[in-house]
Order: sequence, then C-alpha cells, then structure tokens
Amino acid sequence: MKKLTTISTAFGLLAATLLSGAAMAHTLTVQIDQISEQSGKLHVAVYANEENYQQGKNATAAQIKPVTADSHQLVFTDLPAGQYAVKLMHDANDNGTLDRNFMGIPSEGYGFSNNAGEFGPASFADAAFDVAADTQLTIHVR
Amino acid sequence: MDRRRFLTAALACASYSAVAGAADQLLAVVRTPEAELPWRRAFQGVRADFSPLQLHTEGQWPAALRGTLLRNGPARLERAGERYQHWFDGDGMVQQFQIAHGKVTHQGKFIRSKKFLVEEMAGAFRYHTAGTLVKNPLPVRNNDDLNVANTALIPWQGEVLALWEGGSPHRLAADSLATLGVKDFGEQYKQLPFSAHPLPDGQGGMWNFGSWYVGGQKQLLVYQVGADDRMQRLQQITLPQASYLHAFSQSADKLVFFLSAAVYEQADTYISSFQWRPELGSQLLIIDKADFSQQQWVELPAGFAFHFGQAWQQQGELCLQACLYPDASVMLTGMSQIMQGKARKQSSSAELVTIRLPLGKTNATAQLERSGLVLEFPQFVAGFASTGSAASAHAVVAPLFGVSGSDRSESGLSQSLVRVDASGQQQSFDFGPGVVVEEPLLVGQHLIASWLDYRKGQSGISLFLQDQLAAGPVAQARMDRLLPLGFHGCFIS
Repeated sequence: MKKLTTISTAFGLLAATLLSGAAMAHTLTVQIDQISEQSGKLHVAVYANEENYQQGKNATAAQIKPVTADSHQLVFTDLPAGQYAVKLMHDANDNGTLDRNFMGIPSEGYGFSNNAGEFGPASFADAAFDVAADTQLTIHVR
Repeated sequence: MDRRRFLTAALACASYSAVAGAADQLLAVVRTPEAELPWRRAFQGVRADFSPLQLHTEGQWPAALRGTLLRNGPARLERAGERYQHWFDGDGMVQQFQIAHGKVTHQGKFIRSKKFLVEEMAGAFRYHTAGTLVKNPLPVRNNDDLNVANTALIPWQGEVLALWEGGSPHRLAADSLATLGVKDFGEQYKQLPFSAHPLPDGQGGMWNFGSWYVGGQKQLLVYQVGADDRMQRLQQITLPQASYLHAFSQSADKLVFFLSAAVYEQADTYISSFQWRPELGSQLLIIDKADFSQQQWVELPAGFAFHFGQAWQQQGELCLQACLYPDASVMLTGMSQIMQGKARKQSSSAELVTIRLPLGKTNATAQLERSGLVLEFPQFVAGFASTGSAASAHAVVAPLFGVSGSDRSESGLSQSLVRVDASGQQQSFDFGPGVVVEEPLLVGQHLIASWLDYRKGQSGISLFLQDQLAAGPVAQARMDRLLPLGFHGCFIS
C-alpha cells in the first residue's frame, strides 16, 4: 500500500512537472463575434498587468486581423501561465484608431475579456482571467 | 367652485416661493381606486407593425387639408414575460395618419433601432433601459445601443427624425416609415445626447442640447445645427446641478433652460438616478444666442418641468411659459405606477405658469404668475419672429394649446384640450370618460389631436378650428385599433 502511494505521488509529481513545462507555452484562443460591420481591422491585445492594460502599452501579445466576416478566431501561442486581460477594438474605417465623439465615447466597436464593463471601459480586475492551460474565450464586440 | 377656478382666483399672481407648498396639496389629485382600471389597456403595448387601414370618418374634413400626422411613443413594453417598469422605456413606434380628400388612413411601424432589431432576433429584452434593468443584458458600446427613439418626430432635410434624448436621432422615410439609419451632424458629434425638443433657429437650422451626467459630470451641451445639416456651434456648460432636462425655450435673442430640482445621483437606472432635492432649488439659465458664453443664472425655488411654451422679451424683462410641477413625482413615480397598472394618484400635475425676470441683472429675482390651468404638451404657432426683442415694448404672445386633466379622469391622464390666450381667456373641450387625448398640433387654422378611447377599444383623430375649440371637433376619424399612448409628433403638409 505504501509502495502504491509512493508510485502515485511520483506520477503526481511527474504530471505536475509536465504541466508546468506546458505552462511555458500555453495557447490562448480568442473567438470574436458580433462584429457588426465587415470592414477594417480588429486590433486585439493581451496584457499581463493592470498598468500596461490601462495604458495600452507593452502588450504580452497582440494581433491585427482584417475583418472579413461577422466572427473571427485569433490564436495567441506561447503564453506563460499567469493572469491576463484582453482588449480589442474594431477599427472599421481602418484609420488606425478607435473613433470617439466629442465626449470621448467610442463610435466604433470594442470589447474586453469576460465581456466585462457594462457601459464604458472594463477594469483589469473585471477583464482578468487565469491562463494555466490552453484557454479559450469568446468576446462579443459591442 | 371647481379646482381650476379656485386656483385662478386665489393664486393668480403670487411669488414662486409662496405657492410651492400650496401647489403640492392642491395639485396632488387623489384618483379612482384601483379596482376597475380599464385604462390599463392604454399601456398594454403592441407586438407588431400596423398595416394600412382606412378610418371611419365623421363631420366635415376640409378638402384642402392634405398631409400626414405622425406621432411617436413607446410601444413595445413587454418581451418574453418581462415588462418595462417606466413609460420612457418602450421602443418607439410611429403612428401615421394620412389625410387626403376627406379620407384618413392609418399605419404604424416600429423604428428599427439597433436595440429593437437585436431584441427582435433574441425574442427578449437584451439592453437595460432608462427605467428598467433587464434580466440578461448585453454590454453597450455607447448610448445609441440603448436608443429607443420613442419621444418625438420632426421633419428634417426631406426626411423625418425620430428623436430620443440620450442619443442620436433616427432617420425615417415620412411615407413608408422605413428606418433609414442613425443620424449624425459630423464625425465627432456622433452619439451625443440630443434632446427631443430642438427649436428652429430662424435660418433653416435648429438649436438643441444634451445633458451629460456620466461619471459625476454635470455638462450641458448646447448645439446649433445649420441648415447645411452640420454642427455649427457646440458649447459645453458646467451646470451647478445635474438637473433632469427635457426641453427648453427661446426668445428672440436668448435660449432659456429651466434646471429643475430633480438631480442625477448615479443609481441602478437612469430614472432612479434622479432624486428630488428641493433644498437645491431650481435655476434658470439664459444663454445669448449670438454668444453662448454669455449666460445669466437666476435662482428659483424648487420645481420640475418637462415642457415650455413661449419665451419673450419685453421692456428689459424675460418671460417664460412653463408647465410647472411642484415636484418630480410624475417622472419618478407616476410613470412607473401607470406601467404597473396603478393610477397616478400620488403624482402631481403641471400648471401653466409664466416666469418673469429682469434680463441681464445679477441676483435678479424671478416672479411667477400662475394660471390655475392644468396644462401639458404645450403648442403654439412657432413664434420665432414674434417673440419680441430686448427693445420691444409689446411682444406678441400667441395663444397656447395643450392637454389638460381633471379630477374626473380615471387614470390621471389627459382628457381635454385647452386653449389660453395672452389675456388669460380660456377655452376647452372635454373628450369625456374613457378617452385619453394626446398632444395637439397646429395645422393652418386647425388643431389636430389623436386620442385613445380605451373603453371602446378605438383610436382616432379629431380636428378643431383653433379659435373655436369649445365648439368641439369639426371632423373626426376613428378605427377599431388600440394604439399605445405616445408623446410627441409633427404634421407634414
């Protein structure tokens, strides 16, 4: 019985080691839907901390994808295990920025992981999710 | 002596502050018990467009009267077992009455806002509204995701604009009522709040405003949209209090805003965020049309108003007609009670008043003249050219028309039309029990008003001669359709 336990512990350790090795290269798959206009580009960025998320700088990973359908899938590979938050904008007129009105309210689409933020931008805490294995999430463009 | 006469006799000319408490008691009408409430049918809402139907006509429809009466109002009030909690919430639907050769045809069509289309597809409410939190809301991009386009209609650039107050107008085709898109007046002015009561600027354009209270801001945005369909001027004014603002008025030289004592303090819904704070009082903001930065502020005791009549300048004074409530209960509780099938018994009514103050003086004191007349949805012949100027001795004040109510109304809703001229002479026509009459519109020498007879399950329109309102309608048209009660409309000849 003792031997079985030892073996089981050994397997457990092995499994943990293998998993932590995989954690160096997790894949994040982001499904983006409810794209209202089939034009322009999606700008999608993955941030690892609140400061970068707030400032929109030093993204851990980022992609730009031309919009050709009302939904798109983006895959981010080699993400270390950790906490992340995703921001996206749909630059429908392809002018390189999220168009805003006089009061700073976006007129183009945007979205956050966890579909956080009922009205206006989502905080890092609300948009944050853990990556400890390959992860999939869906963001509805609003 | 009835209530109206009593008010007229006792309080015809009193200072604003002296009457605020009295108005509370006098205008807080106790309505019928809730046991039998046939008027609930007026708020059952509709689920589909109305196809064209010819109405049964009576009386003498003038052969020369040709045109289209368009009316807007909240119409979709329930989906998938969820019912809106406030009258402001429903999706806008346009009721169109086409009048030609003595015949009247009706059709009705929902405005295809983004919100309406998403919820039609979902078969359920998916966006929070002004007064209701829905069960399963989608996140919103901007104000227009919540736009129900349900408040007013104006002709503009060969189209019709369906107005809300929290976001963009929607463009409609006047004939087919097809929704053509969302209106903007320039790239950076998209999705700005745009009140449902723009005023003509006398040059083919319009004045309007929006209030912006998100995140504790207290911003009034004042606009002039040019005849070229572009935003010509925009002034951002920081208000002393985040008052609910629905409409404004203009004299020859001034734009006039009444800042009520119902102020925004962020809560669950937009409506529930407004709190009645009588200790703050109200204020008038008077803005020079030529230079928006020239502003006069005048303190007033607490009051509340949606709508205003004429403003005019006379011998250094500014005068403003307002449909003044002693408190904001009509919006904060009355419009929820009627949606829940409860009579508006606790909420106050609007009285026509004239506020007078010296123009251009700091610490000016306003005087208030009461009419004793319950009046809402005020209408007058667009008096831009006749509203006096700073120098004029005698401003021309046009007769004012509107709806009125009485203690006999089961629902607390309007059942009569009234006309009051500058001398205070009044005429009225009572539609009788079971009928709710809506905002009347002036068409040439006529006055036209739509109504709902909830006991008979009929809707219709009545035509009056403006100066012979008491004589009753010269022509009517009715049909076996129960249209939802609405807010504002327009007549296109």
